[in-house]
Amino acid sequence: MPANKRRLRHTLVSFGVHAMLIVGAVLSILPLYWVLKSSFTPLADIFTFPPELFPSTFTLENYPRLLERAPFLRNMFNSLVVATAYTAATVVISSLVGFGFAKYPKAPGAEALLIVVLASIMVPFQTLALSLFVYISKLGWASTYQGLVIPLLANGFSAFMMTQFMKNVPDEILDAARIDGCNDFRAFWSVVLPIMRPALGALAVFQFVYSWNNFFWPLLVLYREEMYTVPVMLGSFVVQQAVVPYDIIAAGITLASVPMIIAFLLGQKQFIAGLTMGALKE
Amino acid sequence: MTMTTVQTRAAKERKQASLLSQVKRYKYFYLFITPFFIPFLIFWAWPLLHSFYLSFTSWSGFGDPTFVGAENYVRLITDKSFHQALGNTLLFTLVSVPLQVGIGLVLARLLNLKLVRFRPLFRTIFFTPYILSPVIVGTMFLFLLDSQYGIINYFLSFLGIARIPWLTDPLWMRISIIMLTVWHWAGWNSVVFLAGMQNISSELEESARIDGATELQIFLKIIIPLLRPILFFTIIIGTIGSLQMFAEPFALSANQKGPGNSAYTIVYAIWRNAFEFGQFGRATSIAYVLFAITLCVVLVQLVYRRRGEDHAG
Repeated sequence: MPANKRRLRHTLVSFGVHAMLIVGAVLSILPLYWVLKSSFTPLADIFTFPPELFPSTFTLENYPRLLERAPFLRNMFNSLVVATAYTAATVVISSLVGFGFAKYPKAPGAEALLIVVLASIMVPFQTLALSLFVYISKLGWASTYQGLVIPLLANGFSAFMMTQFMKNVPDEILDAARIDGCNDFRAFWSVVLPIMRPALGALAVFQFVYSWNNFFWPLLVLYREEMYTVPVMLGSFVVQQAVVPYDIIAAGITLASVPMIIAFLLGQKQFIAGLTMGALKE
Repeated sequence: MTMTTVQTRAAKERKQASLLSQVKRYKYFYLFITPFFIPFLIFWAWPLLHSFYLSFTSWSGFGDPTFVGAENYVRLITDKSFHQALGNTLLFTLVSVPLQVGIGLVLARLLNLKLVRFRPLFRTIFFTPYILSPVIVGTMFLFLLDSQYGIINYFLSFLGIARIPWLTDPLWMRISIIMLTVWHWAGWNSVVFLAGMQNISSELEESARIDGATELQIFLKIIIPLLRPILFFTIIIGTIGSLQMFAEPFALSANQKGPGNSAYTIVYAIWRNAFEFGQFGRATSIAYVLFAITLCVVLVQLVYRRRGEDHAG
């Protein structure tokens, strides 16, 4: 009898736990599903009461209408170019500076400079953004790729993360490389970078997602629609709601988020490693 | 007298020579850090200082800024719309961050139970909202929360709840923004906490269970204390992110600040003062207030953490 009772209890607990998890899962993806569904529904059918969980009419027409309304493919291309350039450059810069801090801690000034980098993490970007904006405009970089990428390159968080990662590189490997006649750059390039690949990958994912989703800085810098990144374009749709109907916005959200979600599903391990970086590594 | 001067000079020279030789010896250090510190000085340090200067000026963005002393800061003391922005931001932070962390902890605890099936699938689903841009999330919720046609009110009607004016009532607008941020961040928290819990040895839990501890006791007395560093980090990240909230209220209010300024936040105020009112001086002073608040939060949390460690150690 007690064994039966225990089994019953186990079943009930298991049922309850899974029910809660399923509720959480449904709530997590329902909004996304709803937008996806709306993007394939004619405008007249999106706002019906009661709402349809499964579309009774299916259409692809919202997508050509989106492209008529805005240079959305160009916007996606811009986002891709900006995120790729930003990611490549920050990964290189941060791994160099991280290696410097991690492997030459006794160099004069190293400690003080590392404290400066750490302190910089606490400064909100918005505190310097306005004068950075003025500066970029004077350089003639408003609404350009370089205006979106270059001002954000000195990223204290990445520099600090790479410093932490680079501390794991054993000194012996470097010494061996030096004995073999490598200079320190050579050793960095051909010995350190290959073994740091997982950390570089995690940082790359973090930076790519950050750049792809970034809104504040692009909103300041961009004024020509062809140069807009995807979030800025969506932002401008929302502001002009009176003239941009929801079916178009739904198509835009779908185009903007589906590539990222597919990338996430394919490279889950790297995504989770990259986006939880810092929290789990100390 | 002369002896000591000569001696100190010699010591000084020796010291200088040794510094120079040290720098030479560590030349690679300086070469490695240069690619970072060049953009850091040009695009971080300089604009930060320049912003500080601008916050003491009156400037429309054209011509030369006029120095006005602390006027911008003094004005903020009586600026009602700034107070609203500040109040909303603090409210969003104080309510949203504990909810994100709390829900994240519960989900992670459930996921970490041995009997759970499809753990990786749940983990993937919970994490998905986090990879979306805040603008996208704001725009999505704009339509989900539509009081007439939105699906959320539709589902609530099954429970006999009348249409809620999510976006048209000041209180509900604030609740909507909090809901949105919790939806956006709770899953990320749960994945982080789950990874942390998986590092806790199950023997500790088992032996507590044998000693007759209840599940709640195990959660509160064993798991939470061991997760402390991770909890600390997620709370700081959540707080800083929340203090800088902009895209979500921007989208959710269609850049109208919400009914009764209920969606107005500090960063929103920075943006509007600069780009809609052409008041760069005042906008930068708000930006420095944001900096000060962030600094206070981080310092308080650091002190709290240090004290916690002293107790634990």
